[in-house]
Amino acid sequence: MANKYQYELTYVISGVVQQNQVDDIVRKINHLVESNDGDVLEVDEWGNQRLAYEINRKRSGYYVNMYFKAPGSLIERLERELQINDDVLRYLTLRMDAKMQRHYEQRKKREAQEDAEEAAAENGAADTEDTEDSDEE
Amino acid sequence: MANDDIDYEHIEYVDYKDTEFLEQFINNQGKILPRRVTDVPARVQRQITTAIKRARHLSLLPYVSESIR
Repeated sequence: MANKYQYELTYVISGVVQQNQVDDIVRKINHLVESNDGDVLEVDEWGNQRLAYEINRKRSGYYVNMYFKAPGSLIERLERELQINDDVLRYLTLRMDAKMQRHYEQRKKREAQEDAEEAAAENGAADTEDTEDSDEE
Repeated sequence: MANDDIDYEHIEYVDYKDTEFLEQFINNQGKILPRRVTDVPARVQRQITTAIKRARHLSLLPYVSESIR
């Protein structure tokens, strides 16, 4: 089996495209990765954002950031697909080296911790509410 | 102008997605500031440069800022 590497891909879909078509593109890309022996690790849609400069007369774009593991031969097909699609304004594929992977894992860990803290804070708030209730009794 | 709050020696990877961080290293025209101004380690400056160029490609940062176009 071919060697798999971890990749990071960010692409920008034209801001004038309807949401259901955006979903179609995202699904198509994810499917392309999965059907070519790749694993999608994370798909993060940033949503519509203002572009820093006009591209093909468009002022806004829908940003999608994803991480996946796949053999190198997939990238050629994936980029061809993105290149052909007129609704995709820009894309950037990076093979993650050790530094990028550590950075990625640190971010994951931080996010997990923040989520846990948030959940803990919510539970804490619920607890104080409970004590308040018992005081009333 | 290096921000004393950040320990630049220990930055391992500069992320092109972190535009807020990268904006510190461009002037009001959108140009990348030279190292004699930014005063960060050469290793970090190189990473910042590529990160800014990647961000520009994705239209996260301007090539030429709006104000002087």
